[in-house]
Amino acid sequence: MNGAAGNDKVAVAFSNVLGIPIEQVTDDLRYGSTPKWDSIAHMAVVAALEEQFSIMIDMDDVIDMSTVGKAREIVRKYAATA
Amino acid sequence: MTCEDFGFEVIDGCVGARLTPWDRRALGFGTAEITRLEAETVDDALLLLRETETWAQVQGVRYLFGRVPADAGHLRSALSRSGYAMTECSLALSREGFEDLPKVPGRMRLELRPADRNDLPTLQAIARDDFHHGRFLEDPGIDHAAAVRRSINWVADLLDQGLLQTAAYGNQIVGFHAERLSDDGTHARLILTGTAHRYAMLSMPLWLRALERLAARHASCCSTLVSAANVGVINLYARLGFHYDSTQFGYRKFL
Repeated sequence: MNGAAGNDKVAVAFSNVLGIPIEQVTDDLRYGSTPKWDSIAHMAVVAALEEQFSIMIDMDDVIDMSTVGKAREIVRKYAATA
Repeated sequence: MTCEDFGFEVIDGCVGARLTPWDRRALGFGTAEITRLEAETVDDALLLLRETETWAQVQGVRYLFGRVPADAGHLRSALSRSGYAMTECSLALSREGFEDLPKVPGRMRLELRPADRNDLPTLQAIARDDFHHGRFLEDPGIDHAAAVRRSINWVADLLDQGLLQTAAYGNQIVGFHAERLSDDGTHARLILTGTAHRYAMLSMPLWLRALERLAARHASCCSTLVSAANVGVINLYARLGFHYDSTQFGYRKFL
């Protein structure tokens, strides 16, 4: 799940919400590093990931989700406990 | 709410000003603010500014500040000719009603509660470390440490006035919010809202919580003034459906 291929659901979620090409969704893409990932988009990213993976993300993880890579770890954690 | 200490009129114009001891406390020298400047001609504006400065000097003011509409060319001309420097640009924003606000995912909802003394060190640390916009912070003629001190004092003053709300989830303080309601409760003036840098991604939920709270109190509209340099917050207000009412340029002069 580290690449940015079209079947990478985390990358697809970020690409759709931020409105950027999936090739630009790398693991080190960071909150605030692009004007498109602001607090509004963050809310939408959380909602998109929750829907995509049928999970409920806790507030602590919402705050820790500062990079795409971190989001991937968080999703993996929830998926493992689902 | 403006309480003017000075007023002067000509046939087609007037000026009002007030001392700002809360700014003096932080900056260490006399400060005052021109709260209105209305004139039909540049000459009238020049006369009104001269009268204001005469009053200000008698009051021991060293720093005189005022905002005028960006499209008031004659006022801006008078300010420039009188030796004022333009140091900031602000946008006046407002929103009628509180319908159609974005929805916050349930677990991202924040609590807003009246701030207490125990919260103050954390809230002041946010003002100190994470606030980068405002007329003093953006004025290159003001010592940065003094401008920061002014932000810190402002938070304490808002607490003393009973206007400060602490934004929190669980035991974590993430930011604060302050507003002032009109006497009839219909209009809210948003004074100061912000999160700690670590919780920046919760800015939207914080603003939404503040607006939902106003709706629950039956306010019908709200307004605020935002630094044009604060692009992140301007985008946030745009997403919240605020209307851009006017652009104002801030001028100041060291007397």
